[in-house]
Amino acid sequence: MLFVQVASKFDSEVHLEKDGVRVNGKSIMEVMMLAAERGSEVVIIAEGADEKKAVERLVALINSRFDED
Amino acid sequence: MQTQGIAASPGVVFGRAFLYGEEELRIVETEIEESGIEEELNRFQEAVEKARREYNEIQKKIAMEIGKEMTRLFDAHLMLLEDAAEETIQRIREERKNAEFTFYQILEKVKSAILSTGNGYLGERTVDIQDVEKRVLRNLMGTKSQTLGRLDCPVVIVARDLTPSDTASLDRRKVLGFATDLGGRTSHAAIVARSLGVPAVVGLGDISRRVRHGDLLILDGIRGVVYINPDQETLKLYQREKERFIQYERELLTFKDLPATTLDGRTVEVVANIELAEEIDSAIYYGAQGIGLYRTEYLYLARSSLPSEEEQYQAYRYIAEKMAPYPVIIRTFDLGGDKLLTGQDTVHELNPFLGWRAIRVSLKLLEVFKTQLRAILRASVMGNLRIMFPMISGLEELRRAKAILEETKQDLREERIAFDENCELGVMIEIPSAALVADQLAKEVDFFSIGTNDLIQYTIAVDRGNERIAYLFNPLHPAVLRLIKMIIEAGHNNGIWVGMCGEMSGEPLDIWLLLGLGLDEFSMSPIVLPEVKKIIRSITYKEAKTVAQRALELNTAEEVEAFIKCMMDEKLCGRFELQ
Repeated sequence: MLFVQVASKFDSEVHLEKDGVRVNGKSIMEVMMLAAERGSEVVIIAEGADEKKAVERLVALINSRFDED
Repeated sequence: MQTQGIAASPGVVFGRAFLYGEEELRIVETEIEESGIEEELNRFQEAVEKARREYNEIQKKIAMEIGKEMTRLFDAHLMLLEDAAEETIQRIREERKNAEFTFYQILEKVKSAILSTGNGYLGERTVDIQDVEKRVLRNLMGTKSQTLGRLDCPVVIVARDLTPSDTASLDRRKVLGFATDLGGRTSHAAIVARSLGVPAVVGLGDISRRVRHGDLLILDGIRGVVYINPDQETLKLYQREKERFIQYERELLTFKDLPATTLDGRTVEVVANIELAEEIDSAIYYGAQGIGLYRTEYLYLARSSLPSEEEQYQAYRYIAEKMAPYPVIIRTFDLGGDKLLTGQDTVHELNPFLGWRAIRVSLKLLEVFKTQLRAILRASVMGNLRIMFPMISGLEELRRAKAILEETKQDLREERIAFDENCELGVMIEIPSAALVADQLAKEVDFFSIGTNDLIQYTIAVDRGNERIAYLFNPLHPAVLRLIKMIIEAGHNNGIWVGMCGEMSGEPLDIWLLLGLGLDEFSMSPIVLPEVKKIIRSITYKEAKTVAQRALELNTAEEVEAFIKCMMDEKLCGRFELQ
């Protein structure tokens, strides 16, 4: 899962939140369980030294197409 | 409980079932003592490490065979493995349950969470989770991974279907027989069973779902019936059947070393089809006077790189030496191009039987082709080898292939490497176009070998593996008989001999007909050799010609079959009759 791979590259903690459920963005299991489909809204939360870059990168990733993976 | 299928290889055997393709893992929950936690964690870590290595191996293989991009498929598995492992370790410390149970629980939770969302795409990801789960659990529980090459004791192999890749690494000493859901008399499982001389029943439909590991089976390869966990009465009955069959086979064996000579003195060659080197012993045992077809595909399957010239040379040399001075016909590569590692993207063909395979691949991948030819030529000094090209469709193709062969010979001459300059060259006639121009081809080769399996498929336009239409696949179809006659006559008119390596030449019912049409060489699975010799020795060539003549006047396959059966019942004391 590309999201998790990219998220794991950053030092900051990364979390994904959907419908009030927050999961660890670096854990593939948790991200899978969040079961976010296309069109659903997720909040990306990053906390740490490179938090800004992390969020930018991840938002771009999700927006870019994200059909497979 | 009994179930009916298609008898694919004769014999009766009792044995335990080995379910190939299905794995049953039973998870047990146990408590771990405080003192045993570290050990449990170590055990788990090892299993995880092993799984990690397995995935890396797979990725390496994929990178080589398909391309680096595809390795991404397994990145998810690796990530999942790491995540799940981390959580499992933590939980083992907390809950003090065994690794299998803990790991299983964690992954099952993820799976059900995903499945409950009803998200179709994610639902497919459960397959990935399943793979990681199975892999680690398998490593933890020490279950050997499913390969037919590592069987602990003799078993009956039960599977949905068996492909050449499956059987390529078969431990043949441990195989008692085969039972498959799919397939017919000429399917791969059937052919392998006959070469190994073990019973097989195919086309059973759902046996792989009905049978469990270790079930006791009676495999009746004569009637095409399988009994699952039979009662005492059935066991006793079959014990007698088995003995009767053994007796019958023993009688047949008395023919194995006799020449295949008709009552009026015409002698034909009766030889064996083999694909694995181990089958040579079987061929020799059953009285083969040579090898009519050595399928070389096995050298290319179930491995991650192409066989080198040296490797092939050793394989061909082994067979040449073992069979010397009898002839061995080596058929060049006869698979689809996708089976070879070309480093290019593999193209999915809609019609692989009409596609890029066999000689067409060889003529495109010249290096691979030449390597094989070099190996065969070098080995030719060790015995009596002959080369055969598969799937030749016409003269132009044959000439191109011959040119490559000649180039290869020239190379060897310049390198001062010895080979048999008189090595015979032949072609398989299996495409209707080749049959129809057989007179042209006969002028440029030393022999023909009729490949009826494919010839029948192409001529009647039927896929022999398709159960719905498999009834159309009939060697006795008048069209097929006419083509065979045409091929043999074209060969003889041009001074070459004609053999047959399709399953038809080992079919007792068809022997007299083929004999009467003038066939010079019959190549078949080793186990049928004695019976075929017996049948050839039971008739005069004159009578056989009459049989062939009459058969060709009949209009349908059914009529031909009835006619021959009638004649055989009269002449022979009947084949092994069921009671």
